Amino acid sequence: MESDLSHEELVGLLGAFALDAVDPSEAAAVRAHLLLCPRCRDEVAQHQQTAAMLASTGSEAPTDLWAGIASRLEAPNTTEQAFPRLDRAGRTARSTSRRRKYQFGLRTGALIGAAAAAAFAVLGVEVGRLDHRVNQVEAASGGQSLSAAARSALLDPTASRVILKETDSGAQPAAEVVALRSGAAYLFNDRLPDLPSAETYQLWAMIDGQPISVGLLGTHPSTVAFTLDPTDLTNAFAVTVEPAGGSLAPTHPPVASTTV
Amino acid sequence: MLELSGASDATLIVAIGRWNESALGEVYRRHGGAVHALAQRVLGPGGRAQDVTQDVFVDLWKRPERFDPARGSLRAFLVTVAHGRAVDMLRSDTARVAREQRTARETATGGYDLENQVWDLALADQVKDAVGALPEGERRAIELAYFGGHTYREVATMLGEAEGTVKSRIRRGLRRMRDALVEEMGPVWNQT
Repeated sequence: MESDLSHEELVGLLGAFALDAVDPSEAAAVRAHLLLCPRCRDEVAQHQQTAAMLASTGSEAPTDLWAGIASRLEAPNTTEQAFPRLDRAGRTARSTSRRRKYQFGLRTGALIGAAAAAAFAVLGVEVGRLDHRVNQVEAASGGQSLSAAARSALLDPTASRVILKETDSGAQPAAEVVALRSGAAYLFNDRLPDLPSAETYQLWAMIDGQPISVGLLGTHPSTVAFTLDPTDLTNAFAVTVEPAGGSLAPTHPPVASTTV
Repeated sequence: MLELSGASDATLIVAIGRWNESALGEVYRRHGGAVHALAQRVLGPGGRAQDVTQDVFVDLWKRPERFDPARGSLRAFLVTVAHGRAVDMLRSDTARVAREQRTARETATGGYDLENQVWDLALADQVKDAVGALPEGERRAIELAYFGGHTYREVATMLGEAEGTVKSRIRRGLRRMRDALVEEMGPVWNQT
């Protein structure tokens, strides 16, 4: 969102913003600015922390309210939508919204079809839960390319993480996929080099033993959002180099992959 | 098996992410009092404050990833969310008249006096001192904005001050409070 307010004017609003004491248009302008300005983000966080001290009256949590809270504890709808992707038929598709209780995960150990396994050379897999990887997020926050949503995903304790390793002899970590239980997912590129404009990286998920395209990553991916169907059993991921525009099926061996 | 009573807030958030209701219960036990007190302070006693309190914890259940431990404590996060919701409710049309009446009454009687009335429970001495050390203009601007749910423009009108003056006083007052808390309590001042 473009704002007519100067940086100085926005900074002057930070205290009032932290107290929810600005007009809606000003709040929107400040929020947009905070996405881009770590210093102002820090200041607002400090103001909010200070203001929150004013609520520390030492009173106990009202016991009669808990029943009302407990009665509303269900798994949320998955409503996030992200990167359009190609389905099995090559059409763009989006993850369907379904109510499920924590069934999404990057599950290892399941079988991949023999043909697919041959196409996607196996080199090692690391799957784990994100238990507040604050250090990583802090480091990543130094780069301006990381969106707020991707950053939030990195912090999500329910997210699953998969490392894609180079398929050459080095087998170095090349990229990482972080997937939320909603189906929203992000690829963070560490080592994939830039491609010429006639080519693109393409990300594939191994689902039911078949490589399914989940998104084109472009010629120089940094952080890319895409969507997974939370109901799919995703065994592995792989990145291939394809002609610009992408392919319906992999036409080259992967340059990076997970494995089982 | 997670031992809840001794678990850190960050550990509880991870457990909530794994749909552990007991972990949410422990978070509520620890911070529900502060959240409800703030909601009551802004909205007054009654159902609306209870609604806000419940909504805050249901939201945490649905979206635990919104809490960023790098940005502050869990209590501050929950209180901030509660404040935003309470203010939204306060500014709704149906609540406007009641708020204006309450503001007129409390402004007239000094009901927003942070130093003497808001902090009459078990608030830490350090916070009392930090609030008490604020210049009167800064304290009034913060209390009307934070507990009264007013915008800085409304506060300026109420106090007969320029909008820029009120804006600056809020920001300066918050910084002054924080500096005082850091000085008194050290770097762990915000680990409530």
